Amino acid sequence: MAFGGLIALKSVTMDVAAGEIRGLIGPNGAGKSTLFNVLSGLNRPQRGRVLFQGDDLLALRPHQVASRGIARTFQAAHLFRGMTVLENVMAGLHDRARGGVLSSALSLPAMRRAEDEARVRAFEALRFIEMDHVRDRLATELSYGQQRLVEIARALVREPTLLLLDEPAAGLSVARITGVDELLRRIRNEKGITIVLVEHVIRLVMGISDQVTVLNYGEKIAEGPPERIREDRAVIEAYLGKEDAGARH
Amino acid sequence: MPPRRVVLPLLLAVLVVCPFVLNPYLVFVISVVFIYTILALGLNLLLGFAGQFAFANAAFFGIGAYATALLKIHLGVSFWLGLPLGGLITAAIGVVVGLPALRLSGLYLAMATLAFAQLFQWLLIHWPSFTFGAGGIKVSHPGFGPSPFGYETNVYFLCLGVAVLAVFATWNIVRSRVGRAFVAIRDSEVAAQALGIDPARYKTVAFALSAFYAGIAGGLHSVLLNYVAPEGYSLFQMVIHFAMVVVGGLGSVTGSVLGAALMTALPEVLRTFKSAQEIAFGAILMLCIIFLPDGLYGVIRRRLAGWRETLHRAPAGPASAPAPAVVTPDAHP
Amino acid sequence: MFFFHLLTSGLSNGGLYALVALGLITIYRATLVVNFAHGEVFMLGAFFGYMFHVTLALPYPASLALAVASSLLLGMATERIAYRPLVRASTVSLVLASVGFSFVLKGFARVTWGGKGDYIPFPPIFSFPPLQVAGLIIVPQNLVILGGALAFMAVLWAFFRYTKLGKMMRATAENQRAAALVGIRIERVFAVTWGIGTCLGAVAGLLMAPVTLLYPDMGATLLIQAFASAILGGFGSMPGAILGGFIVGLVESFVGGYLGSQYITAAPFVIILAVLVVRPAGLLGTRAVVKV
Repeated sequence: MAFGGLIALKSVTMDVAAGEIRGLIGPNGAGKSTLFNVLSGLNRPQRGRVLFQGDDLLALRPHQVASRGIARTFQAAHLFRGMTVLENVMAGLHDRARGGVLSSALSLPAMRRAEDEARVRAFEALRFIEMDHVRDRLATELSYGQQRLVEIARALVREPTLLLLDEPAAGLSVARITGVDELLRRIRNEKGITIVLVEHVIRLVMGISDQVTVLNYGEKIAEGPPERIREDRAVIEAYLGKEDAGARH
Repeated sequence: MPPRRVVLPLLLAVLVVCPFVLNPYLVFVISVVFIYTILALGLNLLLGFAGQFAFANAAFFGIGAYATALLKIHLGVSFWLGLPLGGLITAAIGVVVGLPALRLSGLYLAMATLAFAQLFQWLLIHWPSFTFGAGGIKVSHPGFGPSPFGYETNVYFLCLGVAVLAVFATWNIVRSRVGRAFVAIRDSEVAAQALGIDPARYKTVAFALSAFYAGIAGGLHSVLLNYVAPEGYSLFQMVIHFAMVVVGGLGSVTGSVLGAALMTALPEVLRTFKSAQEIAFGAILMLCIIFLPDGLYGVIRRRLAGWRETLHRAPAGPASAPAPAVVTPDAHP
Repeated sequence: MFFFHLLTSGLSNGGLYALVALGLITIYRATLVVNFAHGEVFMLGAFFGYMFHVTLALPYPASLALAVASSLLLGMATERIAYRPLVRASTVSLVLASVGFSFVLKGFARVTWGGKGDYIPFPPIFSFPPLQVAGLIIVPQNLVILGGALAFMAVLWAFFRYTKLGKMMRATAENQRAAALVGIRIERVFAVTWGIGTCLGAVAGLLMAPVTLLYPDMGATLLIQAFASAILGGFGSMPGAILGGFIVGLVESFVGGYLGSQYITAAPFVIILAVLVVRPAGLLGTRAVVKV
């Protein structure tokens, strides 16, 4: 995947099994976010395929990829500022419902029923992450950590098959990070959702992933269970630099 | 402040009585307010809720007016059919105008739609065989059938009826999944896409919808004035429309109504300034924008707790209006 | 012959458009604000010139200097009064505020110098007879306008290249935060940027004044032509604004000459639409790649 002259991803192959929690790590600029963007259809690479449940998603627009059952969160919490928390989560159900302008304008009974249903499901999603008490607050009134959680709820309410989490622990306190760890386990165990998470908080990633993929300079340099990755030379070098470089500081 | 449930029926009752107690000029002015309300609601859907910075509203207004009038003149279509048809024609043109919006945003979109609007005016003036040129067209009175009232009163009630419908429809749209889709696209197109919302589709819908509202408003305007002419749909009109929506409160239904009322009343009030009218108008506009960033609705929301619209506060802050962007195919913003 | 006449008048108009567009883009690059009152600045430049040269009967060069100085002050005052309070506002608010300001300026001109429909003549400054060069007839006014426009562009280029203030402005235009971090006083740069941008518009007005009639609404059309120039050249690019200006001037001239004068007013709009539909980045602009 190249942006003009900048090659962000150079040939990355990754297989994720259903029900797995996969960690994706690597130094800054390694191409992790770009990989997510490719997976969710925001960037189209010059070569390659994205196979999901047997279909190649490469040609799809981002909203079509989302409708196939892939949900993602973003590094900067992209909650909709003009809406309350509940409305934000209800927005997540958009493509699960039907109803166009005319039926909305006329407020037909079917539409109102659909709205009530959406409200109930959104409420339940918020309850799952224990944020239902702030549901009527405007999204902008929440703290950053709370916003990140609501974003997850918004992704969960869609009952996705695959959940892509972009640095869910970024900027969170230690206590909250433990909360995220528990939440991710619950998501996988109770809902059977496959998770791929990009993370810099190594403790979290190593603690929760079944497998870890490591990227550097747009290439995969290691892959395997966390214990093995922890000892991997290439990974250590990528993060800490070679011995001599370290000595020069 | 009594809740909306009480205020609105009362207001409606007052408005129904008006044509029988006020002088004809005031009745005319209030009819204009109704028409501008419809316009402002449509523009607010596009600009305030969907966040599309489009300068074409005055042109849509004009297209609706001319469509209704020309359908009558060239094809003999009665006003009662011509009005909705005119709205639909305008909506179709709105879809076309919205096509660039799928690739452009911010100021580029503003410029494209501005150019379109000006071109439309040029066409009106320089295509006299079809549009009767700069002189304009006299529009005949439509028949109101069995109604016992005079023409002006009939038109007043027509405008009132359509305005009430428009407010009702907009209120519902805004609180539905369509409304959420609009706001989602405005606040974060990327996140909206990740939720399965197709920005292209909803931007098109927003354009079509606002064009429809403006087209209907234009048709009504043509029979209120019994006259359509190119200078009625100029850049100055566009400024008034924008002022209505921004000063009233972007992203709020109440704001649209208030803004429409204010911008109709303002020129009347400013007549007393005579030659300094322009200065007064410009100054008031600037002061409103500087001191009331959330518009009149923002003032109401802060003072009267019962009036808070459940959804979609006005977009505020530079983060919601980035520098103009051109969307290249492989790198979506 | 006819062709040559169209060429020269197109170039001279183009020079004016280039100047006005340059002023618009200068302000935009540094502050990211599109000043919808810029057309009125052009108009006021011409009227200031009228006031100094005709009403106060000062010699032309002195009037020129004074008018430029007045518009510099006007620009800095505008920035302070109308835009500083709106620094956090949304694009729509900014646009509407500048539109409001354009009404204030227009109204001010109308009240001071004449009402609707009054066209005020400005005495021709250089009334030499047409020159004959190699069998072609050249109208000197066009040469003066073109020369003046080019001269100012050269001055501007030198200013940005060689003076400290110019470099500070360029730095601020590229990256406001970084500029502030290295100690550049952003507020001062904004004020000066507005002053210079306004000046450019006013100078164009002054150059054009001797060959045209003045009226308060003359700013509106010019704004559209400036936009067309800037967009054609690539919005935000200064060489683009210049190139775009000349092209728009030439297109208008030839369209008017060969197709008919009623098409002249439509030309800028067609250009804007064509550019934005086909290649929004314009001739010299770069396509934005936005990072998620």
